[in-house]
Amino acid sequence: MSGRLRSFLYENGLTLTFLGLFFAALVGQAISGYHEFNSLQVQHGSSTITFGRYITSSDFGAAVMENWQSEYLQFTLFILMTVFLLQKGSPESKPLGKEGTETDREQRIEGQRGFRVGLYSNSLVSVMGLIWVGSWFAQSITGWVEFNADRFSHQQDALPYGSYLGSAHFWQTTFQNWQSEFLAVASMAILAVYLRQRGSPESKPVGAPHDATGTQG
Amino acid sequence: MRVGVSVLAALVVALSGCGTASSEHDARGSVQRFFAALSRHDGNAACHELSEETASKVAGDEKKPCGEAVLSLGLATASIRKVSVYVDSAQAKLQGGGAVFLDETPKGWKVSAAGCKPQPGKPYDCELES
Repeated sequence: MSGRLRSFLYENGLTLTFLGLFFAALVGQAISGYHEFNSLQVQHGSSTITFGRYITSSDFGAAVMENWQSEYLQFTLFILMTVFLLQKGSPESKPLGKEGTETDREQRIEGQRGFRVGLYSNSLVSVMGLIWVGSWFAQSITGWVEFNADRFSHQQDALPYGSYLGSAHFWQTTFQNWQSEFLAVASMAILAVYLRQRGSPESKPVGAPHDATGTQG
Repeated sequence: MRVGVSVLAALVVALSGCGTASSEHDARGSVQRFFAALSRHDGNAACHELSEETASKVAGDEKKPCGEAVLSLGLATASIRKVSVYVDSAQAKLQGGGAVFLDETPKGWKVSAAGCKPQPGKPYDCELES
């Protein structure tokens, strides 16, 4: 392995590992979802479909998008709220008294002004938020198509898109994902006050006191 | 704001309508052939447009071969007002308020329920279904 490649893998290990896990999990979801879909088709006396058709179907699309939108909402809100909200003792929080967007000097942009600086200053939330909105929109479309296919199979009229956005089906699939994301953030914020993981930047140093806020490992 | 709503509406139509134009055409054709067969009292041709489950059900319920059973129901025919397709299910709304439902099968679009009358707040009441 060349030195440059080794260096690239070392410096980007965290991202590359999680991207690899993501692809493996997505393939696993596609394969298991495909088999489950076809077994339900057989149960209902309908024809089965190919794997290629399944991964381009609204059924698979809805399953993927409903998870993506909740993950990106979690990060969007977490990034935004940690600007203004604190958790005493948590490494996920800024120190007490540091709430807010801070001074230009603290943000190391003293003397810099203009649209580009403003845009860059909010780029993380903006991009995360855009991905959240986009994947939520995609969830709504794919979910609406699947919902109406099911209504037709039960001899019911289809719902218009606007009506689907107010339907129990859409909000049930939305809230079932949101609740787990928000619980995970709340858990992480408070558990990290009292528990430690040596060597992780998500944890305070093992010997740090519980009330030390914003101190990382 | 108006531009944003228009763009969103266009995206919804585009994304949901991807690839359904030909499916709507094929589903419409199946309903038209089904009604034409009923009109000329060709029960076998009408059964050819039914899904296997629906054909078996009507034959079993009427205790006759499908071709005779489907004609004995006296299903009314009507002009098609609108065809909608979602994935592998379709609905043909008829003049007069009735509907026909179809499933996409390996043999093409087949009628899964016919002679369907709307019931407020409930599924359609269909004379012929699987």
